[in-house]
Amino acid sequence: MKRTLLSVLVASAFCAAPALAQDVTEFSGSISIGGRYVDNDAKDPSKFNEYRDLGDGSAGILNFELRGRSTENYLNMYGENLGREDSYLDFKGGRYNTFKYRLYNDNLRHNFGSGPGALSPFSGIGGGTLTAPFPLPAVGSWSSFDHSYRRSDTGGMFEWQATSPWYFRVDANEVRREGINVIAGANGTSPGNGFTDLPAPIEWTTRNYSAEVGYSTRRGHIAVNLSHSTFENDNDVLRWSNRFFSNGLDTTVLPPDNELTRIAINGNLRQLPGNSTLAARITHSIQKSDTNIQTTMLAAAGPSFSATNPSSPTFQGDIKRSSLGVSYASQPMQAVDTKLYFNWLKEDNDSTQMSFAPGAGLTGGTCTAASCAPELFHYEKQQWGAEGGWRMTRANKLSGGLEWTNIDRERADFKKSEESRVFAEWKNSSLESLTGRLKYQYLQRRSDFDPNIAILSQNPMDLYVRRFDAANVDQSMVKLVLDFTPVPLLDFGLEAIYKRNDYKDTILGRTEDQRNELYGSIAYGDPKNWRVMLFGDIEFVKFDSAHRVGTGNPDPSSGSNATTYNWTSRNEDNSWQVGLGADWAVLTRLTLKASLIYAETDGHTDFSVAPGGDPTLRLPITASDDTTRVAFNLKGVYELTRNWEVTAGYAYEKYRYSDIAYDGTRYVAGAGTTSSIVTGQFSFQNYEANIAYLVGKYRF
Amino acid sequence: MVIRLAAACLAACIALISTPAMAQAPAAPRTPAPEAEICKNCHADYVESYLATKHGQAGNVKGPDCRTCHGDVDAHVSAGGGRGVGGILGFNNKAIPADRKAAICLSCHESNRHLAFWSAGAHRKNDVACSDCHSLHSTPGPGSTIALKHPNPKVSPYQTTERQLQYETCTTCHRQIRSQLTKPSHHPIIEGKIACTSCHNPHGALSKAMVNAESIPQLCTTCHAEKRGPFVWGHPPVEENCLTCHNPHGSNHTRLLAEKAPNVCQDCHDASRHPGSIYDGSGGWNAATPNTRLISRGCINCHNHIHGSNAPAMKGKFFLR
Repeated sequence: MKRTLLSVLVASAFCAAPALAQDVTEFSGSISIGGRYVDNDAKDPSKFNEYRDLGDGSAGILNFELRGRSTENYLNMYGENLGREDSYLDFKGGRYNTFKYRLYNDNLRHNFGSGPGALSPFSGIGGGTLTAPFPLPAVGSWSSFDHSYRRSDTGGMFEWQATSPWYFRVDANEVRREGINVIAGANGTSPGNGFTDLPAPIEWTTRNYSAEVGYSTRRGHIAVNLSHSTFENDNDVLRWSNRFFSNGLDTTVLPPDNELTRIAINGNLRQLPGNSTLAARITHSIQKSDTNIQTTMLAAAGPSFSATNPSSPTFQGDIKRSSLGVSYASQPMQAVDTKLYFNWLKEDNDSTQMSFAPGAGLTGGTCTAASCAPELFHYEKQQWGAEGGWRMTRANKLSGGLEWTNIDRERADFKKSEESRVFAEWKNSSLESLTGRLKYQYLQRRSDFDPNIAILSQNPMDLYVRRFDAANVDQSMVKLVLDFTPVPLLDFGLEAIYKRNDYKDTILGRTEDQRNELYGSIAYGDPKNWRVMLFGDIEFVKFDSAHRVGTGNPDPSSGSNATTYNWTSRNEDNSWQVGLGADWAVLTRLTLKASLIYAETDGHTDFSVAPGGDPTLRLPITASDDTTRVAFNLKGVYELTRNWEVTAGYAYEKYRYSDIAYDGTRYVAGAGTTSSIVTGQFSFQNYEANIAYLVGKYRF
Repeated sequence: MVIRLAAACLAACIALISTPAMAQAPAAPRTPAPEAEICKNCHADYVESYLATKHGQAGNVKGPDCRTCHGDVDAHVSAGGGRGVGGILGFNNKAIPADRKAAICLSCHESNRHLAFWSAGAHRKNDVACSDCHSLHSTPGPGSTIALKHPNPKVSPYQTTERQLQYETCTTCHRQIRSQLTKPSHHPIIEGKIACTSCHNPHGALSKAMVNAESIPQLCTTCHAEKRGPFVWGHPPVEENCLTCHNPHGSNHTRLLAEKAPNVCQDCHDASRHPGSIYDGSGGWNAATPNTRLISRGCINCHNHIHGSNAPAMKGKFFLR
């Protein structure tokens, strides 16, 4: 058993023993011991195992639960998958109406690739330096590595309230992530020189601490919370052999250590005139990082390193955020409820204002003063809103609201945005068996395109791009929800959503996106005997966008010719799934549970070149994250005796994946110094797996 | 290590706090309410199951009795019983407004700090009652201390956890989310490693979608702390809203992308050469010369540090290192 688990166990036992020893009235719980057999035919089982520890072959299962109850104290101890990489331990306890505590340890292994899905020519994987000879060895001699990381979250909390309105609470946890994640880098500075997949080490530790003191009564509540979080990366940089620059050691800068300190005050006042509640929250946080700037970077063949000439040898990241949220909710009359609210968020970036005067090879050809000094992102958002609901009759309720948002941001294109949102909703339950809800929402965003010419003129096309996250948009959304119970134990549910964003003033960029979604379900049965549910989901999503390419006139209105032209694309994502689940108490002692999911996703992209443009035939992309998934579960639970229970189960899963970016992966594209290399991640995800398990549970 | 020490210290503190209190005489067991015996005549299952819950626990002297929640049981009995008869309040009765049902629970729990923003939250506004999610007559499932309603059979891929997971309750109403949670790319929610409450506060919040932070980036970087920065070179949409590019509940595309790369990048970036070029169906691995902007992760193959970079000069500006 890992040391972390052991320490949690010991610590919890230490605290639990005196709390219950003199006052035990009842202990109950269970211990489950069993085994599981997995047969998986995947070349790369990482998709099957993405978040689950389900390696091929047999493995043990060990779970336990212990509940202690006395007249004053309670204790809940739970553990599952002990000894496995997805183990979970959770101990909670306390004294009724006095205090409570929790200790936990939660583990996860996130698998990204293995076998043919994780091949690399580099040596030193797992460390901070990756080396490979040039020319690269043949793919057949590349070695496989474990592309995954383990995440272990250990923490606890203690809260004291007793009978006093005062309370305090402390929380702390540590999240440790260890493993390898593949990042990448362009071989050269200019485009077109290939790229390299880089297995980078992950040795990250995040520690979070918080303390809260509050005063809480029926009339109101106030609390002050102070939290501090640190992130530590054991590796500052990754060095790697870059064949484009005579196989010199290039440098990729890894995520920096950082820390976040936050204070929050929140509270409310209840029972105000008009049956109102005033609630508010004010926060202030400081986020910092401290990074040594690379003073030279590999920049040319030779290999040759160029000075980067930073204006400061270190970068001191410093972002301060303040926020205020206020809500005033009232129920002035029995049939009327209202809410007024205000949200404000401000972000000041006081980080070091860097500038660089790099030598040859690091300029990318466009390193003017403006392009070598990063913009510091400042942001302020104010939002006012009012909502109201009127229950016209017992069975009819009308709701509506409007909201206005103002955003100021430090950005080269849109510095200011205003959003107006209005919605209306009708809820009807005239028929006792049918409840319906229909909602319409309209959102309008208008932004000032206020280009920073010094920045945007570096890429003249940017003067015509309207980025969809801030561009003018008219958004319409309709949502219908129906719940129908024609006879007892039979439920129909339906949810339909239509949502359309029309970026009406966009010249280049996303011009429209639309979602059509339908979710339905039928459920029947009494949970004590048998019940069944069938659901079906279908989604159609599309994105339309307009583009221009070429070194000629960047203005799209200037028309198209063979070398500079406008083009459009339509990207469609369709998906559907059906699911069937059933529980059946076959006998007093035997329960069967089964479920089946069949799901498909289908992506498609079409391209269209404007008349007069490049006549080259543009092939649509027909395989774009296309998947088929089948998941079947059958489980039987049999009560042998009052104390013994046996669970036997079988699961079948099948997954098929096809995508133009991964189908037919050859690991190397191109040749020589500008070749691109990949690890094979996501290329061999297909799997068909059978899982069988048998678990005996002893209850006491 | 520090956390482990802190955990051990915390346990020691709890033990110390517990010991003197344990030396006192144990509190008197809770006296069962007399009406429970009457209610049992018709509702034996409910009474028995209730007594096994945290509310009905012998040591919980503040625990409610039948009439605390259901009203005047005497009038109900005198009138001969039946649904709603004698003004009895049944929490499964859809004709009773959610606010009235919630008021019963709030009469005891209003001062609970978790409910500080209940009145401001979307659930109260949308007529969600406490009893729509919480099952007061059930004992919690394995590994849980709170009994949540799971009205439907579980439909999911094979799970290595036995715990009853929150999402099964939440997706009873949030059907769109139910669909997204099983998409090829998803957070480990159905695997039991993230709960809905890791990001949302169903009991109310001042933030949109009742998220547990003032803004989306502050929420996401609670776990993804490596993306906090601050970076020398930031990416404005990253700093403003992660949801511009990601769908946190699930997506057809890897890394929870709302749209596949390179399309999602091209929606904002155009230029005389790439990224303004067309990356069409002729550029896959099956082509003689695969297009390095289309294969594998698309634009991210080169611009890997898309969430921010501390590399100097243009290598950082274009998120190359």
